[in-house]
Amino acid sequence: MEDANYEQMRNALARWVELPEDAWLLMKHVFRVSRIPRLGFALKPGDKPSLVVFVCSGLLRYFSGGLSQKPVTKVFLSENMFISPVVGVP
Amino acid sequence: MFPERQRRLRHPALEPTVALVADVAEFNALYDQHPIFDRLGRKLSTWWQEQNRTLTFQKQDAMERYQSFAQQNRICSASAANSYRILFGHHRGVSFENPTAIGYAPAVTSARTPRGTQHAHRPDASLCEAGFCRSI
Repeated sequence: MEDANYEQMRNALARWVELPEDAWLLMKHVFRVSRIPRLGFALKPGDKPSLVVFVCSGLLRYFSGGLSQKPVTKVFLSENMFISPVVGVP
Repeated sequence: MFPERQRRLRHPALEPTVALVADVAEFNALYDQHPIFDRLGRKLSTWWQEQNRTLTFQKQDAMERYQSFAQQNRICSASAANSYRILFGHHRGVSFENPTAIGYAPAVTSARTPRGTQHAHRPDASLCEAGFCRSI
């Protein structure tokens, strides 16, 4: 099942570059599968944004604002989208 | 490293989500391990910039885009405000009376305020913060 997630990311990356097997293994080693429940956080409030996230399935909301502030949605992240600490893209 | 506003960004899941997650430091280390990641990084960077440009046009008005441009290019916000007034002729209710310095241009830049006052920047961010760059 997890292999399917990695293959999904590899296929998504094929839009930009075809990774050779040795490079793919290096990249695969860096990523780990994370299962986030509904209303869970990929990045918790207060955490330093130090993650690169690839969405295999589900939907994430990328927003700014503290817990006591009104959140401002930046972008919704659906399948096959990457997010880095700087910006999110489909 | 990141502006305060970006530090507050959060990623809550709206439905059960499966994601592949990597630490940025480990991801960046890939660039030294295989040359293909340079190519991938360049392509991703270009793609991100294009998408970010699209998002800013969707989410920001002209004033906000100009302020972002000024911030990215280390132009004093006071200069940005004055330039904005010149370009757009009004300030949409935003007060620039106490501009917050976000940097200064490498070379001394100047812009003419609507009143005709010469606006100049001192090559020192602390002076800029203290308001010395507003008008002399």
